[in-house]
Amino acid sequence: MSSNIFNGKRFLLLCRQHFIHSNKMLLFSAVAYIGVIFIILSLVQMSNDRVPHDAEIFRELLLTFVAIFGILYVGYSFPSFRSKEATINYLMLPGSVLEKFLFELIIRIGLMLILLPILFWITFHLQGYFFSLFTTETFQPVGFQQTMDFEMPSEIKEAMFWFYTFIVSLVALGFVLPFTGGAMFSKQPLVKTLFSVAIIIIAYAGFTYIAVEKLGVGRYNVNDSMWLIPTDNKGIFRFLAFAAIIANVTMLFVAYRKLKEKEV
Amino acid sequence: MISIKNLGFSYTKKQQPLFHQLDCELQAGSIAGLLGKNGAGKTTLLKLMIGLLFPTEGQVSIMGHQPAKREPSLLQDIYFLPEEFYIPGISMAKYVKANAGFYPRFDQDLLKRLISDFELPETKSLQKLSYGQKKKFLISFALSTKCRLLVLDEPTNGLDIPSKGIFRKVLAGSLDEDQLVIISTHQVRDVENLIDRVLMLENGRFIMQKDLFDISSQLNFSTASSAEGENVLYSEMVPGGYRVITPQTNGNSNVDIELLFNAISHGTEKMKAYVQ
Repeated sequence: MSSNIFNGKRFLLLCRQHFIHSNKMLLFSAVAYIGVIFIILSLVQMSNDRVPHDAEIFRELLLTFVAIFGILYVGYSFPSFRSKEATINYLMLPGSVLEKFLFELIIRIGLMLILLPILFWITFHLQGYFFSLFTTETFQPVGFQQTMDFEMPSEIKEAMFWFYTFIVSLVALGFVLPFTGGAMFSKQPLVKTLFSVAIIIIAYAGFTYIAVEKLGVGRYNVNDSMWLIPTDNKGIFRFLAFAAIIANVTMLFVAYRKLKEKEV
Repeated sequence: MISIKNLGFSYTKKQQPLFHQLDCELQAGSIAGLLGKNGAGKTTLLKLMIGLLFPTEGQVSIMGHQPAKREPSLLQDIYFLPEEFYIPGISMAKYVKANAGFYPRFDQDLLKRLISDFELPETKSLQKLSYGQKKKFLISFALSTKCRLLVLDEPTNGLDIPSKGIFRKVLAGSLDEDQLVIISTHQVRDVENLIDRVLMLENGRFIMQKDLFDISSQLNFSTASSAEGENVLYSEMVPGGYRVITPQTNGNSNVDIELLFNAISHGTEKMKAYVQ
């Protein structure tokens, strides 16, 4: 690749700059995250007669914490865009648009999806062992593999690949939307993103309702062999997975263009 | 180094264009002063030059690159110091460690010398420094990058009187022949004896683009007891007499940029004809 598009050395310089400029903020955020998890796990355990947490609670709280904290963190992507002065520094920094975009994507979504579960796992165990000092019951360590240890309905088993593709794409979209919002909105990006998403969903649901109910599309009998109109479980998951993937790619492209066309 | 052709710009389509058919050429090895009243569009023009804003018509070229593309090979040769700036809450050493690597010609020794010249405390967190100290640090950093194009927007705002003198000294003493510095300011006294080309901006167009040498060979700036006389192109009352501009008759004189600025802004057509 041309050095004006992507250069590994410059990418590493971006990483170094980010960690030097933001190390205190990252440390405080990690401590706050661990603290909140510890307190909430403790409150839940106390309200449950100090019975140690099991794999089910681990799974539920893991998803909740990663979703909430992850969206909060991703929602403030491109932090330099929050102020005019910082935007000038960011845009004038000698790095290509692709480097800056990829760096933000990796640090906001990639690294977050690795670090938040690990920090949760560590805090979960620290809290579990700490509380075992005050109860006769023994805390059993939980592994990440146990979070996936649940039975799938047989209808879904037939379309496992598309089902997982859909779930992964949907989860990714949950983070990509606030990521793009961070690139689009300078002030209060997360609030504006949630508002925009709500408007889009309401408008989409409204149009769908009008098309299906009022215009009579729901009474149209489709041919079973039509690829885009799903008629079985596999077809439904494939359709939804494609829709979610296209939504992800579109949103990432919008974020890239916003970064490229940013003026200040 | 910088070529601006038929530049047009407006913030919104409905607005009257801020710039219309603006042309300018600037070469390396000089310090250009971009002068103009408040709201004349100096900062906007600087942003158009370096690609922070995109022209609505015409083109800007820096060293053969289009700045709006924001290519790293160009960005590593441009340093922009805005009037209002962001600085992270870290020490100077950490700031340099985090940012110097982006500029291939960065001169660590020069930075140490400039920090010492400006008498900046090296150990303090940048957030704890005063506005003027932060600005002095950023001026030092800007000069140390050795970028071929340095764009300084109101660099002397917030500097105390001794620091303004040091600024002039370090700027003049640390530039290479292949560098171009553009200083935008409305405090013309601060850049006197420093700039060698003057660009004056008014109502979206350049009312003057001239080398100081050419101005001094055409116009004479002196103090007189009277403002009368057929040769007087422009005069202003000052304590003890008048500052007057007359056609140059014998050699050169020091250019009084403030007087020149006022003369062109408020002066006669005859005066303007001299500087076109």
